Amino acid sequence: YSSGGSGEAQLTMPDHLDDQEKGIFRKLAGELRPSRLEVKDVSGGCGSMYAIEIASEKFVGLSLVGQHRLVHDILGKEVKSWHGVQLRTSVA
Amino acid sequence: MRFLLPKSRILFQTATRPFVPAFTNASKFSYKQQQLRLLSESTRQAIERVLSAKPVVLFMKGTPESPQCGFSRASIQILGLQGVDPKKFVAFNVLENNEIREGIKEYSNWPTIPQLYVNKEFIGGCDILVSMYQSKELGDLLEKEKVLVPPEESADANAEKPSS
Repeated sequence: YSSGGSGEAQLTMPDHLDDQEKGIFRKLAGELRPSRLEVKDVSGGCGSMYAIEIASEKFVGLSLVGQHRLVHDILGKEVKSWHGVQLRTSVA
Repeated sequence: MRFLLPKSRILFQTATRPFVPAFTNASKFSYKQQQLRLLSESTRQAIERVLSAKPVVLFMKGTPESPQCGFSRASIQILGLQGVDPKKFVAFNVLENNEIREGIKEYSNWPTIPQLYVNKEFIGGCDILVSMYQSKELGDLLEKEKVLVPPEESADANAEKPSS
């Protein structure tokens, strides 16, 4: 979720995220300062697959593979324990 | 013991594994992008053999006829829709080989399966394939790499060419 205001967009973390989703949200928000970020557990609450949508200026100049790799790197070891991850990245 | 390299994004699978590369050719173990390759030489060679087999290689879960995962299935479908020449394509079922299943993640520096390679270049996973398919980028790439079914063959697959 992003605020509609101009200038520095303050990303507020939605309340309905579970603990793991919050953790992922914080990690990505901290590193990528995205203008849009959505994190959703799509494994039925099992914490084994997440759908992540993220728009960030840090993706400028990177290929899709590069953008996804950046997200993987930030998520670190966690991704390895998941069954999968769905990423939709875009430049802000 | 934990090695901390500056600005590194190292994923250690076993912290206790000693970092002693037993390679005779040191150049194969270069610090590419500051990543440590915890890939055994034999696994690396096995992967490279697979990549050399055909121009288009998909590492997937299950087989093209019977995919064992929705993302693998989607990737196969996209390649079919794009008209990839079956003669130029091979799918590797990682569920049958755990060494390759883990090895390809290190080799590609990519945590998930499926993974598509075209002429030994890593293209991406399912999300990327879907995105590139929609943007027509994938079709362009496959055409440029000459891995699509040629139009004459698809028109009449049963026609026998006259022998000289």
